Amino acid sequence: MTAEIEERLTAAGRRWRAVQPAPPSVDSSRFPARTGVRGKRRGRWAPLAAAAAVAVLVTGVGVSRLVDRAPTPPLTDGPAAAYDPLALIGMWRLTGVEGESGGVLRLSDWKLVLFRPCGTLSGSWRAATDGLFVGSVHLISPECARPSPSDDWTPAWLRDVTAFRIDGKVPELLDADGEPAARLLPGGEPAALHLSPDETAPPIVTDRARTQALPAAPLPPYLVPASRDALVGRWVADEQDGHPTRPFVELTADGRLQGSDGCNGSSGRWVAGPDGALLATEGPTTLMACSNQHLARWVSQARRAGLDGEELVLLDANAVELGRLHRG
Amino acid sequence: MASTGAPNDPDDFGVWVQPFLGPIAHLAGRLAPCADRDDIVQEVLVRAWVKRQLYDPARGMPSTWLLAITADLAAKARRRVRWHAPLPDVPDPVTGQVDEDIDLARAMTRLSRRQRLAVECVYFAALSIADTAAVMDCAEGTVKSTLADARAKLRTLLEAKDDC
Repeated sequence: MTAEIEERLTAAGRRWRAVQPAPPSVDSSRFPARTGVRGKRRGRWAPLAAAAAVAVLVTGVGVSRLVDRAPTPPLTDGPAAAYDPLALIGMWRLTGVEGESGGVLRLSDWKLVLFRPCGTLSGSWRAATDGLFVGSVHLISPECARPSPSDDWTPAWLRDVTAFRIDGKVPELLDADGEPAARLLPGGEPAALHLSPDETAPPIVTDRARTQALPAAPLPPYLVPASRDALVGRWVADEQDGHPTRPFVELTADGRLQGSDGCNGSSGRWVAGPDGALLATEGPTTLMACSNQHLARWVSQARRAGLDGEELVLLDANAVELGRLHRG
Repeated sequence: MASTGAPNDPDDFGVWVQPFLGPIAHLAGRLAPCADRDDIVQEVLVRAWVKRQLYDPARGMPSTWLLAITADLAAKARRRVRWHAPLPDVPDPVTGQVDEDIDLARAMTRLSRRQRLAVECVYFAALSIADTAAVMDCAEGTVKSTLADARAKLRTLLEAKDDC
């Protein structure tokens, strides 16, 4: 009887396929040279793109800037070098920060160490050529007072920083209003702590840092730039069979990023800018074996975020899709 | 991003995907019967083009990769359609003229989701076991055992129907 069922299924499938229309032909004109454009949707967004282009020509302001508050001055305000992330790599004396007297900030290739008289705060940072900056602290040495584990360990002044600019040779870290939250003066020397010379030596610009500091490719035209407000919330990937806990990432309005791949939790911070620009850090995570998607890592690797209908599409620096998320 | 197995030229890419259009269309038609099959196919091709740098020939055939994308987009299309219209109890694309196909289709609605997916892929979309494993995101052995379970359940269901 099982063999008979197999025959019935095979025959039914054959009959079904026999009445199916031919598949559509491939229209390679829908594949633009750099990244894909959804053929069917290209027309849908074409008027918007045209309107944006007209707005730029007439007013000099991109449409996305009108709806997405820019945390940093546009590039046209100064030379490109004013937003060179590599120029931030160094050992800096922190000034203009209340409660950080004597603090020294070491920014190496995306690792951050804040030397305080009591000890060190370690974390990560990212910056981009559009002036965005984000930093977070994930580890505090035992000698320094630690907040509770559920709190954000990033100091309040660093949580406020969403952008940077370099005024002459002095980098400034800016808050969302464009006001300086900290000034970085060259020549910082950490207090005499029991650290290895590698941890206290002035950092160098590595090839990895150079690669990651390259400007991100623009958002593909089939995506609508995701504004900061649009990004806030809890996001999930498609259903994954067999996993008891659904992976998620949550972007909160105060700039925190929290996520889980279903087995391992992680946290960090995020900032967003015009034209779908996105920067995020990700802290250390546990390493339990888990085949789930690590959504927080998608966010921390992303340089652009766009909306395709209800879906959030994360793209890397080359505008290649890292993943798609829905609200959940 | 290092290995790129899919062509970077749009025309070459079109030629590259051409042999798989039939299986893609069949799978889309089975997994999202209430959605526009050709729309899904176009979405699959564009998604594959956008993500072409992610295709790694060392990890599987192009069909495996393309059909996994198809299953993903068909599931999304099915969810979109679900907001507008309930899925029919009996899948519409049954050939219709054959009573036993209708009985079979009704019995298939009683299978678990994984069992039905395996049956749809292998018998209706005519995918290989390897490609079905890619769609179901499991091992080939799991596909075979799921199919065996599905056939056994169908047998029970159809025998019970014959007894009535």
